[in-house]
Amino acid sequence: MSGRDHGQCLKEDTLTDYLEGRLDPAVRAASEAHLVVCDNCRSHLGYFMRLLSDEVPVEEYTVLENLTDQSHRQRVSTTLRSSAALYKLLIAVAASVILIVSARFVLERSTEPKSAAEVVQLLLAQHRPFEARMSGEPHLAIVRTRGADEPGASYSLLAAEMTRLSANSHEMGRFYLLQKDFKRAIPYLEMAEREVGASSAVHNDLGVAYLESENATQLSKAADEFRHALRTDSSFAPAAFNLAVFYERAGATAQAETQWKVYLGLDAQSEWAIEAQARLQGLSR
Amino acid sequence: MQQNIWRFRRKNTSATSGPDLVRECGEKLTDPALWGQFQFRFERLIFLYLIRALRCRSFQEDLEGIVPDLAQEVYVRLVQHDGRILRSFRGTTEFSVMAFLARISSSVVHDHLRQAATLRRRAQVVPIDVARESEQIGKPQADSPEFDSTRLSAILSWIDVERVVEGDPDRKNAQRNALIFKLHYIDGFQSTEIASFPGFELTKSGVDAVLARLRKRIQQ
Repeated sequence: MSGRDHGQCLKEDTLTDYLEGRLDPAVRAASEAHLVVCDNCRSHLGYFMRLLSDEVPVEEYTVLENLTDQSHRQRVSTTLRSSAALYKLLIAVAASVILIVSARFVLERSTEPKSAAEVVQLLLAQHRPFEARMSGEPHLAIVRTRGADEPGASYSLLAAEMTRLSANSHEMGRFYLLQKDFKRAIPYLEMAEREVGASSAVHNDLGVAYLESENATQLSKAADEFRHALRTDSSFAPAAFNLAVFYERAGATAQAETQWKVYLGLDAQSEWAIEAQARLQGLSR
Repeated sequence: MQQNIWRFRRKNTSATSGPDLVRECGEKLTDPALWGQFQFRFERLIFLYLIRALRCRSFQEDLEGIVPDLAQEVYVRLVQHDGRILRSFRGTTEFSVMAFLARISSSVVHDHLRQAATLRRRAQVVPIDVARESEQIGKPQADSPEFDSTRLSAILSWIDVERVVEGDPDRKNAQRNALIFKLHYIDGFQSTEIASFPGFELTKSGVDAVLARLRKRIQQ
């Protein structure tokens, strides 16, 4: 600023407000008085006048056009890239959906029981209903609970599924047996047992139904069925296992020990064998 | 000369006014449609102000290489701190938007050049011989801060203006007229350029009349 005091130097927004004619008359007058004597502020005012001038010389215009074109091309390119990216993303999403649906379809198909026998096997794989061993039953530890057993499956829905899958009498008997619904299981299993050529499995399962029903009149029938199964197939391990259990419950310890040894002769490796060994040791003490 | 000049026409194809658009952008910082409109309306202006700010500061390098980066910096300043600058905008006219963008563009250029100068200074090693030679001559270098080529004309113009202002019969506008006189004769603005700013409240012929009257008084 020059020698005379004409107030403080002007801020940028005051300068542009002055050019716009927005300043209050008093402020405007003071600003003009300052601008006349302050070369720095007037220079600054001139700078904004040049910046805000609506005249565009040809050299500026050329640069401006090039920059605008460049920016426009970049925007178009970005739009195309984002469109392409969006397109790729959509394809990826669609592919993922197809993959997931296909995978679920395949997995569900692969895990979905294709027969009534598989339904029973799946249920048996989830929990062990009792001490005795049903045919084809995987070994699980016995979990004793205070309350009623919770099968953890909707058996009413599964019963409909068993019907849909055209379950035979053996399969229906097993289905109710694993639910400990002996009143329904035994008739089905007896029906299966009467069929010509009934397998060891059928005799075994009917014997299990008799054994676990805890009906005294049916206990002896249980032993008969296990023996029948073993006569049909002497290497049928579940029947050998169950016969040993029968002897134990009947209090025939010696026969039980012998039967456990017979069983271990048939199966020395499986988890059922480990259980058998433990029970044999328990009887020996 | 006239055929080499284009009048800058602001893009105003939208129903939303420039000031309203600026304020809306301040309220909706992440609205792509709104910012697309902002870019469409004001990108050329931002480019133009950056070009001019660089030229005013004697920037001689590749404009097309640097302006897009600086334009990005302008956008950053607009949105940073939760759009504080945009939300502080109180203008009501298209000119106020232009002035607003010009101030930000100017600030971006100023900061960029200052930063570049700092980097140059740090990288610059002056040979000892050159420094001694300069010292012996005792002559300040052209870019030294002591050198002010406008000092003489500034002193002369101050004396002249004192006379002009004191003798101007248009007492009400004496200061404005003196300012116009200086802007024309010292800073080199044409009457058309001066008249284009509403703050002077004069047409081109009005500015010409002021200049003619003051010139006559000085000659007297």
